Amino acid sequence: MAVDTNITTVSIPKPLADKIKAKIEGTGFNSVSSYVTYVLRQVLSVTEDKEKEKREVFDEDAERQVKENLKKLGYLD
Amino acid sequence: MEKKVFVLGIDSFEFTLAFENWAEHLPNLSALRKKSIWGKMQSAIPPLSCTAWVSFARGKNPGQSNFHGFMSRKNFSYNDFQIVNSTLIEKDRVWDILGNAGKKVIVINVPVTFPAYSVNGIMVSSFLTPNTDSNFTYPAEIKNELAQLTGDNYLLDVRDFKRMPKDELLEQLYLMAEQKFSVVEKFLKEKEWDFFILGIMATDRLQHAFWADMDSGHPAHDPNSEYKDAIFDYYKMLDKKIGELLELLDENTALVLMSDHGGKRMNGFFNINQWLAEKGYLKVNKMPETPAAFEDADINWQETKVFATGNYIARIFLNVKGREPNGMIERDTEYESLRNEIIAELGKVTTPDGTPLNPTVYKREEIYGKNAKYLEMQPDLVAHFSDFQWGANQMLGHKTLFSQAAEKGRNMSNHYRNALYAVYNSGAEPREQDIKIIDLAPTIFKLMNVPIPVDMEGKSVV
Repeated sequence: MAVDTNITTVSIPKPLADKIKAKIEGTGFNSVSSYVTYVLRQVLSVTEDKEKEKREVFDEDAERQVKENLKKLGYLD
Repeated sequence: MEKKVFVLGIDSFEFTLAFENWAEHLPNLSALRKKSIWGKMQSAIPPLSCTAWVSFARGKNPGQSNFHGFMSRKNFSYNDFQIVNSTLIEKDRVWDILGNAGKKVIVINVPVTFPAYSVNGIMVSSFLTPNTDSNFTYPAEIKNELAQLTGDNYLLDVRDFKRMPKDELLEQLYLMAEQKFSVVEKFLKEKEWDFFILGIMATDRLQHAFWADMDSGHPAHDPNSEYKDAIFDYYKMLDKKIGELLELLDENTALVLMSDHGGKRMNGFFNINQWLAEKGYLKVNKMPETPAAFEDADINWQETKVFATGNYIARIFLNVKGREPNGMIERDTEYESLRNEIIAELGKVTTPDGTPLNPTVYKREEIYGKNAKYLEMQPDLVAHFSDFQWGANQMLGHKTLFSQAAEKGRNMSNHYRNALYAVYNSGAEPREQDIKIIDLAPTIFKLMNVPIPVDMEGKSVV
């Protein structure tokens, strides 16, 4: 049998797996694994975003330009 | 039910114009509405493009987000503001969650998506992008496709709707829409997608600029204006585009038409900080001779009790001990009574013609809930005036409490609390139902058969 080397196995408690199975019934998720993957991605992406927040978004020039735009739109004076 | 979803979000698209007054002149829109679940949609409070679009996309009220306007106070400082941007928002907007569920997404021109970030598909950010050299597409190479499609002239926004010649402005507004719809047509054909959202910003600029030309009740109305049909004609153009878009979507795609907020005649501005200064709540060391930006004003913060930020809709802050750097209002003994006092005093203000200002003032916990994640950084009070017919003005240095709409350039309409929506081809029976802006994200999840996240505050309409 061919093994998908991009996939690995993690263990979760059986009652939790049963709960998830019931929750995903009738949804687009066809397995407990696909739902767990989705939830973990969601958790990780929120954390990654927090890291990103620390970075500078606008350099001085960009900030000046956006402020200028906000003035033109009436949000700033 | 497992649909693809296309969201057409038209900024400021006004319910009374699109669905009532002009309905018979907008055949595609009217036909679509009759086959949809549709109605008025209560926007976010405050109904600004930044708060409203983010509330829509997160299915949460603005108190759950880490900002309160285009410029938000940083760390309770008085004059250190940060520009709203995508990094301030949790990655739980509808396209983020759908992407994590394996759905392919395309996000075009939706406010508060700059800098563009990685999604399971494509993102092109909106206005508030510094320029087209900035990081405004994901993946980066999409920028080249946009440049190619538009002759290296992709418009992020109009140059200056308040001051540019009207003909030139209209030309740019039409070009902006034309470009966006041509991007849609190309991506619908060439890219993989399950969820597609297009934001149209031009309508907002259009209404700010041309509302007085259309509205005979506006103080600045000129009955001979050759631009009286500018908004009407633009709505007709959009109606045609909606017809063309429907032709491009297949049977398995539901269309969600929405606006983030509506538009309303704006008679002029109520100079809120000027009023606070006159009443003694705001202490100014040296009042500017002529109207000047609030953030540049010389304020005596040690003796200031209350100040406001925000144009169009006022955000009022108390100078709270232990929170603001020079805070003096005791939270336990003074905070609540001062908020009530401000509400009562605002209620006594009359407009230049002697009619009451009729303010609507919200305490933050009433609109966001006591447990909202970012309640503490939200304004202590949010206020709009005369059902939005007087905008707020944060500047200091006016000789009067009210100033004309044209004072800061041509700006004749405010944002309005009612938005509109229609959910078309959902499989559900058509009906009219008024909803809230936070109800659309759960609706999209339901249509696409992805579980609705438990922390979403809205309810699906399908």
